[in-house]
Amino acid sequence: MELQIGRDEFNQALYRAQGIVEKKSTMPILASVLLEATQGEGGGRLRVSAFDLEIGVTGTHPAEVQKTGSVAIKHKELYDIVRALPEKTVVLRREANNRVKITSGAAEFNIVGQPAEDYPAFPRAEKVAFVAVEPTQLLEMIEKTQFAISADETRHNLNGVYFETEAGAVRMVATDGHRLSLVQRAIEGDFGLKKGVIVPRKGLFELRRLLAEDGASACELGFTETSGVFRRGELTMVMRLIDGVFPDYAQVIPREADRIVTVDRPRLLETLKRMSLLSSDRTTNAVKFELSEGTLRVSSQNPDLGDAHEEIQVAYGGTAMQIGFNARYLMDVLSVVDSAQVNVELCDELSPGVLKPAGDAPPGSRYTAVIMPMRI
Amino acid sequence: MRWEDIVGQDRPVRLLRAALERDQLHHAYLLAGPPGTGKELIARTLAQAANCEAEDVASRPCERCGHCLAIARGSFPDVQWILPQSEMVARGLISKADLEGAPSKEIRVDEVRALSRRLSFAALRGRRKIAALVPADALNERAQNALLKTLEEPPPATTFLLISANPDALLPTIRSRCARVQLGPVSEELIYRRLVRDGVAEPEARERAARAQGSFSQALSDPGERRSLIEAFERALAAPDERDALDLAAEHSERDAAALVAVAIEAWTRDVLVAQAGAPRQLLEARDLFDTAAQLGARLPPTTLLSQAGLCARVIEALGQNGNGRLQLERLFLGARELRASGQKGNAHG
Repeated sequence: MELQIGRDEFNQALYRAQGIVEKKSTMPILASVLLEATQGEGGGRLRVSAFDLEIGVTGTHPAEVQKTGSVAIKHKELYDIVRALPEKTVVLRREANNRVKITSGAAEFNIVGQPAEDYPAFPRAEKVAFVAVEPTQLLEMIEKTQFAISADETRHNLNGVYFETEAGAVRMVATDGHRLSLVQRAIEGDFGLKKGVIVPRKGLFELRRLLAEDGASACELGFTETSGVFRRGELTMVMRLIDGVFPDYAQVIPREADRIVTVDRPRLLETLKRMSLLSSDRTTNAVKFELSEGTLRVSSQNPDLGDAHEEIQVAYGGTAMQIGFNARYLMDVLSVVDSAQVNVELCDELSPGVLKPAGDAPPGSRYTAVIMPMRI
Repeated sequence: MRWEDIVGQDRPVRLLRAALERDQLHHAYLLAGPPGTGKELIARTLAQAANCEAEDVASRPCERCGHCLAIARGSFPDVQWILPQSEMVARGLISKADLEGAPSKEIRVDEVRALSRRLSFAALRGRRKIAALVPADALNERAQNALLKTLEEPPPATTFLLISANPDALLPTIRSRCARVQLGPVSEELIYRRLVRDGVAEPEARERAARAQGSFSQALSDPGERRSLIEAFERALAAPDERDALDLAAEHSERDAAALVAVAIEAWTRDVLVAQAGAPRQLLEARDLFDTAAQLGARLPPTTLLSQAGLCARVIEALGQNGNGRLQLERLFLGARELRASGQKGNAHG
């Protein structure tokens, strides 16, 4: 392998890999990046890949390739060297025993590499039915569901977001058993999914990072049986899917509500932030909702500190009731919804509460959050 | 390695092959047996056979397909080997420079959690995900409890292989959730044949096979070292002052090296006792030192030797609990010197 590549181009590729390479893994080679130099019709390319058995990122970059070949090099050392190189171009040359000579200007490094064959094979991303996705829309869908993913590592099937398609729409659902968040958006194209898939938290996190750094370029998303594949230009990210059955979430979404309260979203969020300051238990953040005609009274109490309450004017004409919630769960939802007003749908003090943005949604679009009540 | 090439473990091999051929592999096996009897070899062969691409089930693993080769190289994503850091350093998989502190001898709870997270994904290339814990008794108690959850509700198409020479060190709850596959010591004859095949000369092969205690790894280790170590030990004990003993301890000051020395001295103490009881040469581990052992046995009272064996056991235990290598060896050598001195005066103490 011998090639010449722009230092900044190479640096960027290594920066991307940074979040993926595992420093302390049971498979030591995962601390390395895989470099593959190829010569094709469009000229030479350097492919830089990182894979931690969970997520893989690979990008190809234009390079002047004198000799094709591949090698794995420890990421940290390589990244540190490339960042410190004096000239704008760098020459990489694999020598005997997988040693790699890096030269830039007068500086020369000889570092130890490992055979490329020792690098674990990437998930296959051939034969993927890619669908063009709007980066901002995908980012929005991730943000609207990610917070509800279960943190309980023993419940693998809840450690990710359920992704399923329905004629002309995609739906993402996350739940931890106490709350559920569902978002649906219209999309054109067919993912070819026979059933829904579970995309793990870490994969979504990396995907979100990629989407946030560039919201303008065209992106594609697709799935194989074992992985999700995201593609933008020369960059491909592969995330392995969780092998499990997502619970039948439709069952836990109440079909109709006895009481619907329309409330100003920023106001309710502010109120909850204030009231949760005095919640007796910091982890459960219990707040009490007392509903009467035209008014929602939110209160909290702590036997050691005291109590607090606040009243909000709401559009409500039904009978009085009271119910307890974890304020954190409500705030998580209110922070990601963009509408000015939200509808809070309630039945009785033991039935789950439902939050939806008020007003009409565009066709195919939907957002629903379900939150289990607390006994107060 | 092909199943046919695994020597001396017919019963475990038959059991696992039958399970593979019927596609009825358990979700967890405890591969138990003395060191050097082929536990890891069987684990690797099982991992290959379960994922081999060969059409004919009976000829798996084929050792030629991409999956078999990748598993042999350790780069197959669906087969994971979980080792404590100290073991990874010892095998040259990582260098000490890669670690922040001293290499841990334990498999810790976060490693078990990371493993069970990775196992929750669908298999990437293979048919069956394999997770081998080498050795399983390196799991500390918290890690074992974390593993228990995964063992109780194993992810689909997954087999755990718990490898241990000391299965009693595992929590009973872990043991009861694994199908136990017991490996026995390999017969002396099979070890002898293997050594001859490797080009070891006839009499030496006999001697090494006898000393191996049914363990291939012990038979393949260098025999000369043990002999010179025992001779140096006896010289240091017979010397007029303590200087030789202290030098010998300093020479093996690294903890793992010190533990090997203590184990060798323990085996040697047994040999002297065996010779003292009038047993023939064949029953000794160090047969080449039979004459030395017989002479010592004639001179020393059994109580002195038994006290020396007890001292060895305590030193080995202390080294297992992070004792300082050099200090523990000094304790052993100086203690043994004292035992000899008082034993020859005829008032040995226990």
